Amino acid sequence: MSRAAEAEPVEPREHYLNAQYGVRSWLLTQDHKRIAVLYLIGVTFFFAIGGVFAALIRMELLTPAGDLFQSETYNKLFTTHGVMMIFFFMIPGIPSVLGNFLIPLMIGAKDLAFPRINLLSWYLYMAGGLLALWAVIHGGVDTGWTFYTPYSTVYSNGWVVVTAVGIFIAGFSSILTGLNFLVTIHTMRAPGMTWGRLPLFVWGHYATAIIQLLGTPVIAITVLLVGAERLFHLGIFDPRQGGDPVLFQHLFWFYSHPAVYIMILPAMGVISELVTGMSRKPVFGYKFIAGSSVAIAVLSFLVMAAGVVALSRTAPAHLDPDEPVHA
Amino acid sequence: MPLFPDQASSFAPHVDALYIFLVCLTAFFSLLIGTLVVVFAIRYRRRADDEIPAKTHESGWLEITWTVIPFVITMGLFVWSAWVFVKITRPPREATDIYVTGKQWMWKIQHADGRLEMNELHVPVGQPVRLTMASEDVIHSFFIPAFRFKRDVVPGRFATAWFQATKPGKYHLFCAQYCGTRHSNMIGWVYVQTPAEYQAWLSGGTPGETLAAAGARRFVEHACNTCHADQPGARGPSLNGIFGKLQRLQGGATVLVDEAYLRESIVNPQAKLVEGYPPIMPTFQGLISEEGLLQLVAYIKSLSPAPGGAPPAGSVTPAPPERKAVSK
Repeated sequence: MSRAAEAEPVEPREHYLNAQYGVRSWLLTQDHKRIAVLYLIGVTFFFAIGGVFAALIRMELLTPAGDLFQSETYNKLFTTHGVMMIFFFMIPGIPSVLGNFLIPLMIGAKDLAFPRINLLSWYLYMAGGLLALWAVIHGGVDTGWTFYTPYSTVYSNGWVVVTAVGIFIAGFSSILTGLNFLVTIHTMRAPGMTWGRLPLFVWGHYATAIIQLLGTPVIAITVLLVGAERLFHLGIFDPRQGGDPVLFQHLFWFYSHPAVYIMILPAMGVISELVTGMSRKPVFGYKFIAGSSVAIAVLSFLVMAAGVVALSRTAPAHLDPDEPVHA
Repeated sequence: MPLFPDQASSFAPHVDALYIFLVCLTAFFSLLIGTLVVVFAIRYRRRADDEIPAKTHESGWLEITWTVIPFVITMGLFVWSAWVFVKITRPPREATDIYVTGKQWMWKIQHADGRLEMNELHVPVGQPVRLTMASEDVIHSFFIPAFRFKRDVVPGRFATAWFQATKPGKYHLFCAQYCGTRHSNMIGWVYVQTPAEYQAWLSGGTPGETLAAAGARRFVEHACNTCHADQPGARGPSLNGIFGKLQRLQGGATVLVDEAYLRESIVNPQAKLVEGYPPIMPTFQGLISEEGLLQLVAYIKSLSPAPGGAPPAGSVTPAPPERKAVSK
């Protein structure tokens, strides 16, 4: 960027904010920048709710006794805090807002590959979030954001099914956004925008999109199974019917461990751009950062066992060199 | 307030050493990187408005260096922590057996001599203790911070783990897996006693029937003995002396007879069929409580006093007739 442009920013007469006015023009828009703004509003809204619940938790914890809330309410507070922050703030946070806004600009595309799907993904996100919020208003859910079975499927009294459906719906928003990014980055780069020149912000989102596309269907199916088991007693996770509670944990962490990288990879992309932009230097070790972003996405699917480490069973006696087995 | 809970088990020092090393390592690199960020920001600050710094794209040796060093450190940590993990998860064979049942929201402890405790656990200092744990309802986690001991107890299966207390005292026992409304009140105490105190505690009170005896009673109540009769031509395999040994199954596979296998064979008998016996045993799923299952397992274990398996569940300080030289 030349200094002249920096000193006197030239604003186009017509841009995404003033091209059209009115609620209708926003709610039916297919412009990636406007959808990014819609997402910004939604994400901020759910972040505020998650934040309020965090504040309530901390206030209760000022004293050891249940002065402000009893156990039941407290358990609902931290569940709501977790669900809102994880599924409706941290996961969509950077990709849906900054990614939506910047990826087409950075690769020289007019918009994302599927503008209508982009708008649909925002509606799915809002529908899922509002459904989860409905559950909170009508009495809440007390399973913790991890929904461990068989507590969630048999013993909990809250709105588990409604919250699960909310997460299920929001999951499709994440899948569609990831799909949109992947197709856009693959097919809509401007001439000369080779893979080796792709900004690191875009690389970070490319890696994130892989996880969103491959991981989210698993969590969506898993929470749906929790809902189905709760309603119809299928016996998938209930040991009394021959089910396995640990199966839930494997399915859950197959997504939720990679989800950590859905949260961090876009942020790494942001910092790569900020540092290089502000220091007026090309990034150091571009290939390493781009390559490691994708490597993180791939490896993230192999670390799910970290979620179940406290289950670790005793090493079988026949693997023990000190313990001869008397057959 | 002490920064660390007491170190009161044999593996607490190992866990702490690993933990403190990790904290120091993280602190070192955080400080190093944080300091460099500040130093570089000052040293290479923009001194003129139109300054364009030299372009540095990459440096092979630098990037390889800061990749190889963390790799070596993390691999070293992996080997170290795997060593600690194996140490923690492998119970010595002479351990005293204690049986734990978790339910919303309490811990019920059964000693081999039949003594029952609620939210309290008495153990002798300096002796390995092996816990076999089950849950009546949801997932709980048996957590004794002073022992650096934590194990999830998942319903539908046994969890086994061991520890050896090293310091007499009274220590907290928590449930570490969120298990419902009163999870935060699922708190108990572990009393580590000197051998003399422990013996006095054991002989006090009314012990009632031993676990193995309770199991034997259930064995008859549920009519297990009609098939598992330990005589030629019986409809079910004999259970005498099977614990700790390999059992041949239908189809030629073998399975080690441990607590988990015994439990599975009671609640889901068709899962692993013993060679030469028809699949006629009905399931006892839902008919026997977790405590009852633990008693039955304790009884079947007591039928195998030979050196192949665990010590007889009937006695508290077992003295097997013939003990192999075990290097520990």
